[in-house]
Formats: sequence, C-alpha cells, structure tokens
Amino acid sequence: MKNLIVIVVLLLSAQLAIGQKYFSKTGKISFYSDTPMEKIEATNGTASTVLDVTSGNLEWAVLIQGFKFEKALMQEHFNENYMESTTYPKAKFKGKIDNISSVNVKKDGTYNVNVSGQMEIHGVTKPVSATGVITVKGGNISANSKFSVTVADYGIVIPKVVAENIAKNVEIHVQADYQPMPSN
Amino acid sequence: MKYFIIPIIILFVVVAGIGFYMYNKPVASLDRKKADVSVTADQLLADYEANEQMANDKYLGKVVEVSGKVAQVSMEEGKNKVHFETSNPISMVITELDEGNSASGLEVGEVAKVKGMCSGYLSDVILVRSSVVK
Repeated sequence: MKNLIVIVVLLLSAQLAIGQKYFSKTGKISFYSDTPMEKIEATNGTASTVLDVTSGNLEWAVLIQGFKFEKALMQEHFNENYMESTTYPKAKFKGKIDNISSVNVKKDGTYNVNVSGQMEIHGVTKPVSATGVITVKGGNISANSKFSVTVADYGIVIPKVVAENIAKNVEIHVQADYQPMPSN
Repeated sequence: MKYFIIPIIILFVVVAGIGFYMYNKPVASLDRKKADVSVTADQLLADYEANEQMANDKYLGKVVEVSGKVAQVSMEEGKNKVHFETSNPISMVITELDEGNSASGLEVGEVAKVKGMCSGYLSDVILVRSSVVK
C-alpha cells in the first residue's frame, strides 16, 4: 500500500513538473533602422517560438530569407552582403522569462516581464536582455517586446559607402500569439 | 565645345534616372518567374529532415513549386497562408502568400500547387512570396 502511495505521488509530481508549453509558427519580427539618410524597415511573419509558462523557458527562431523589405536592392544587400543568409539562414534566441512566476496564465491581464538569454545572429552568439509584455486573455497568451541590437556586435559589416544609411543600433519588435501545445 | 553640354546633361539625367529607379525598385513578384525546382511537399520536408545543409543547397533562396494536399488555409493580419500536409504529422510545408494573392478558394484536403521562395526550415519548411499555381 505504501509503495502504491509513493508511486502515485511520484506520478503526480512528474505531471506537475512537466511545464505547460505554448507555441506559435506565425511569430512576427520587424526591425527598424532610422538614420537621417534613410529609413529601413523589414518584417517576417513566419518566426517560430515556444514558451514554457512553468519554467519560463523561451525560444525563438526565424529564417533570414523570410524578411520582407519594400525595396529589392535593400533585400538583396541585407541577404547577400550583411546577413550572408546563405551561410547563416537563421537567427535564434534561447533564454527565459526571469519573472515567469509573476505571470498567471489562468488570470486575464497584462504582465510586464523581463527576458534574458542568448541571441544568435549571423553565426555570432551574444547575451541579451529585454523587457516585454505578456497578455493573457481567455486562456490565450500573446507576447510582445521591443529591444535594440547593435549591428556590429554580430560581425555584420556595413560598407563605408552606406554606413550613414544604416543605424548602428537597429530596433526590433517581436510579437506572437501563442497557442497551447497539445500534450501527448 | 558647347554642343557637348546638352548630350552630357541628358546622359547624366538618364543615368541618374536609372540609378534612382534601381534604388527604389520594389521587390519583384514571383508570379511570372519560372520555378527553379518542382517537388512534392512530402519530398521537400523529407529532404530537410534528412540533411538540412544539403536541402538548403538545393532549395534555399530558390523559386520552388510545391505540390501536395492542403492541410490548412489561414489568414492572419492580412497575410494568407497555405499549409501542405506531409507524412510527418507534426511538420508541414508552410507557404506565405504574397500580398494581393488569395488562397483562391482552396479547400482542406484538396491537391494544390503553390510556387514561392524557399526561406528554409525551422520545424516546418517555409516558403515566402508565394502564389497559388492554377
């Protein structure tokens, strides 16, 4: 009998330890570079992201060639010269929401969160941190965040000829509407 | 000497005009572009699952015409997407249609063809700038 109780307790705690995961395959990432010379903007609507609301673990992955620019030349330079997207087809983030315990997925509301982790762009990985907002509504979770990335930190070389056209720090907006991952 | 000035000015204006046009030229639609490769959704995903690097060499940045059974048609924030099913229950081929391209009344379960640019593989293979091939 005692063994049975132990087994049941272990099974229950195992269940609790397994985090509730949410995902999206339509995460939206936009970036903005604003200089007196030029304003550059691009968006990608096919980013993939997974959020574990128990542990706070957060991952994002995005395909560089999925970023859409208005001007063809800009898109070409971005892929071929700056990001070298044939060699480095993806950008990734792996980290966590540091204050996930303050987010109650069962209670509608908006929650300010702090995110930290490792960002990999152009084959270079750097630690990053940012703030964001998680919105819970009717069992659905959405998240958004705005932060800045220093282009040179990731080994991205901008030729002197266009150096005035591209900001040293590019502003990035990230947004996702998460769905619960079906549990097996 | 002064007879050269007018042709030079005209040449300058033409070159500047071409430069301005090239600089501001919008990203072209792939509608009229011929596909670099035609493949089934199943094969496309299988290639990526087997060896991502080799699949990228074959498909990344290329115009790919993918055929298969429609698993899902969705519209999010004005962007239409057509998902193709594969033999892998969790992974699909996702095609994001170019602005102004509709999913042409495609129904789930229908066999269809979509042409777009392969941007690579996350947990699914993703094509962008796509259009439905009639």
